[in-house]
Amino acid sequence: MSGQLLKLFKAFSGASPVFKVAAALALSSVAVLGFQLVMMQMLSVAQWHHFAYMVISMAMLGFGTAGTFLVLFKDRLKENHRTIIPAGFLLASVSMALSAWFASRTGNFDVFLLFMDWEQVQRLLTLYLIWALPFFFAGLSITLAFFVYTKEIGSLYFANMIGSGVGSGISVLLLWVIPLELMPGFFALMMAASALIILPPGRLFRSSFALTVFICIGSVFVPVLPEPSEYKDISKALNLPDAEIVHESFSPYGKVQILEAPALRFAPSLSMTRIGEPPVYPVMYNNGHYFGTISGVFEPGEHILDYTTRSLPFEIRTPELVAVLGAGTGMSASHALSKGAERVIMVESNRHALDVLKREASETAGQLLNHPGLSLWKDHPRRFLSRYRGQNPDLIITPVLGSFGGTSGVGSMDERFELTSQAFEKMWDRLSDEGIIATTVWADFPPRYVLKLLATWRNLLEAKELEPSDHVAAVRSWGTMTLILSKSPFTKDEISNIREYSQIYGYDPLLLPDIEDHERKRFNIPEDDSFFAQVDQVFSGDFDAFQNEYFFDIRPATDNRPFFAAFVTPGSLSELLDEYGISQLPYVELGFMLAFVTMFQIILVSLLLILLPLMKISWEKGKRRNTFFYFAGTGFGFMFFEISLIQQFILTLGQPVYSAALVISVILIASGAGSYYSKFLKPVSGNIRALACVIAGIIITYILMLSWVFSFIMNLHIAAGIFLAIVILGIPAFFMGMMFPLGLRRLQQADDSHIPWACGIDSFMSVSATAIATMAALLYGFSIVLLIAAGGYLICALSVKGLGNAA
Amino acid sequence: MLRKFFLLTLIIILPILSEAQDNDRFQQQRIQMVENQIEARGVSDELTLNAMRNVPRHNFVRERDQRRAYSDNPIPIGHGQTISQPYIVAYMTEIIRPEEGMRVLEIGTGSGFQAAVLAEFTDEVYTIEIVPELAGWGEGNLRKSGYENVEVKHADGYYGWEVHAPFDAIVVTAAADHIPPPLIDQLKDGGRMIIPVGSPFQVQNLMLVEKSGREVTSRSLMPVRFVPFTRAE
Repeated sequence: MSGQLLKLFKAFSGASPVFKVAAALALSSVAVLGFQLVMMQMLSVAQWHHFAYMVISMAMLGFGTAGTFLVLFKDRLKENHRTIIPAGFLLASVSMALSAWFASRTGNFDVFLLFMDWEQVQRLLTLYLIWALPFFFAGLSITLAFFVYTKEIGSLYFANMIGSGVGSGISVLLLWVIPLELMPGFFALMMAASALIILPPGRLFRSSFALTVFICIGSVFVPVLPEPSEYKDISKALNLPDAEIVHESFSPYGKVQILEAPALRFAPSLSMTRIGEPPVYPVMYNNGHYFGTISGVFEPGEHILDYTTRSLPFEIRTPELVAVLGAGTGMSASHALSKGAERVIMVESNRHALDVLKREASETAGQLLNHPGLSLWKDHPRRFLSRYRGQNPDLIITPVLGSFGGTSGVGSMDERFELTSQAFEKMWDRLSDEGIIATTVWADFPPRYVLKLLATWRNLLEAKELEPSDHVAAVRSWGTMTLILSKSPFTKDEISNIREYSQIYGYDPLLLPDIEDHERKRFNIPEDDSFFAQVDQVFSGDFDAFQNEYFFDIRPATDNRPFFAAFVTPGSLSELLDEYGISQLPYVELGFMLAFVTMFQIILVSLLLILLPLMKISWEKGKRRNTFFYFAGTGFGFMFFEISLIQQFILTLGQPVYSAALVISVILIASGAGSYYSKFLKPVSGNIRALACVIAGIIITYILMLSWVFSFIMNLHIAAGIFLAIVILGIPAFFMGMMFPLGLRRLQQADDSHIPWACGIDSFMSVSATAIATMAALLYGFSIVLLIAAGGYLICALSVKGLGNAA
Repeated sequence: MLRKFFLLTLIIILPILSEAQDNDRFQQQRIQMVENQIEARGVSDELTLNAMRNVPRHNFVRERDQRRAYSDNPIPIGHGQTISQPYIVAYMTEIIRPEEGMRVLEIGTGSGFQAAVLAEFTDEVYTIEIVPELAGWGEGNLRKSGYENVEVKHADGYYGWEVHAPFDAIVVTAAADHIPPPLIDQLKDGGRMIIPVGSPFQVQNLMLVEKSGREVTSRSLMPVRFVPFTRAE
């Protein structure tokens, strides 16, 4: 074994400098991408997932700033590249290992306080610096290597891309086996190893390397995981007396915890007619967010959900087969079984949570999951709706929308493919002839969720040329509303049952075919009738007129724009600002505001740190204009394509983390292959222009075809789906990977002083594009994002002729 | 000797002077708060307004937040809790129809501010806090500000405080996703329970629960007239 290692070391020692640099670049890229994904996970645990995009931007910003640094000091850096490249890797390693520890020293950053406490802004800026440092040092070494070995750019870019692709893939796999808090140390060691490959001789370097390894190992032995925000669900539960976390585990799905506390009662919007103490159950959290209450199996008879509006569908019909979408820990499934359903299909995509439930809560949830009447689909609801071929369900229960007291808009960036118009269309098709779709919504003020749901259902029914009021009924308690959409019109007896049921439990009918105004406010009285007027106008009045006047966007979500909880548009922002004021608005739509603020700050900071310093070395009377457009086009096009597809592939892969890992890995590896292949092409304008047009053509074809392709993939086994995804992503990415090295080679032939400048532009555009693409998808949909990506490559085609020449 | 005496006097007097100045400043801010944030938004009950003018809100926030104690915002107090926006406290107080001598139960002491406001017009204020740190801190704030007439208990508010029941009003400042049946039981016939619904930093609406015989109804109240959220014609 040691002999083989020695042979390998000797072979490596004798390898050419370029090969060593390429190997170091590949390994460092694995570490950088792995670290980036780990940071995204860590921040999702501590804060909210909106910071995932912020981390991508921070990484790009670090890289971009490194490019600028290179422009400003290129001669000195080039001269000392043999020491600076490994030194950069060592510093990146140290800053990775210590980033979590440094972050914990800045005080408790809490995104909830960002808009009301100036100290939080200062803390966030400090955190930016801490997070961007590893990317800056790694970026400096990588960009310097590109600059010094430009002739070999194809191979080096290939190594960089392959490493990045592998890094993104293995970090997801490692999350199953290595605890999250140990991962920064692990990737820091990998980064140190990349420095070792090209470490110059001398005691100073050996000592520096030893010190770096010591720090990395130290970070593994004394790991730091950021504390969750005190406003997260789990933090609130931990405030309860005798609260105890009885299980904790990590996976790519997130950090799953089970908490028990004597005061953790389950009684969501319980009817005020119920006497007696609600049951106490353990609760499962994922990344600190409520995931579900673990109840187990109920004997047929009384269930706590009988005293909530969620029992409405069972009061009017007796479904034999029930499908629960996004079933969480199975509370609705256990309710259906207790109501006499013969079979319940529980659809839940979080496999980790389900495994934990079976293993750790075997006496409660385990019994439910092993119940003979229960079938488990560990998949995304949309894949279930596409792939399920059995008997049609009599009742489909969707996830509960919103939360008690409102969500503060934290979910506005979530892709909810199970709540789009296309998803409800699929549900309708799957239902039995007497089937019902049931959705429960927490009351929110001003109303948004319920109006958007009604708009979606109205569209569906009108498309089928059915009268909406014959097929939809709803009841309202003090806290929730349950809406049911029936495939067959409600009968008179059923309508009468709903009235009687409402009377018994102290609910008010909200929608019935023959509803009268006075019966809508018998027990739960609104301040005025405006809510009812809104419901009626959205459901049966002039929807367009209402939407034009309403501050919130309640148009149905679609697969092209699947953000069900996104209610703000740029047009309504100023009006909402007038209404709420700057201090309150963020707590109405926190997700949107964070995305908006992130976008502006990223553009501003990258402008200051990347673009302005580049301007210092002059625009040279427009000579760099073509360089600017070409590399802006590649940067923008690449990132818009990547971000859009990460979000869209959630539909077929079912999980954001897997989607991100697959899309990033495939795009980077295929780009790397393209980059390698590019060395066989001459960097003449004709070749590059043709290439850019091919990429733009593929992207435009995707805009027209992707929804059809996704529908097709969803019908396939996951392995076949992944294979097709690799083909779909790999082909354009292969061509995209050629654009950057071909552009650099073209510059190198004419004036290599443009090269660091070009890298900086590419980084700046990539940084900005990450944030802008996210916002553009939220507001205008994926087609527009892809269209902009195609536009970026067309700009490359137009500017390539002047690239490397005076304008 | 004279110089030493002079210095000693300064050392003793300066903090007193400074504290007096602070008190004057805070009192001025309180008057403005009531005028601009509370009366201007329609709260008119005299007992409520007087209470809001009298309670030193700056004693109920963390020291570093004292400067903004009278701002028109909720302020974090730790443990995921806030001291509510002054207007919301006033509005909730007005809604329970304050009367001298009424018996009030508060669920969720937090900083103690709402209990102090209630204690301005009645000696029968009972408050329960489930988070031990907040129970201690809230009680300390109340005592420091001279409210000896408030009884504070560290317990699970779900069960209410049966020995002091029935209550004319129950103010739930730490709302859960259900209304505990014991609280409805402990409400007098004709009594009122007020529950803010929303995130820690934004009360979306207030729910007023009224008990009349065996019938219990809930009524949604908008603290500020937001509806209908449509553009002007």
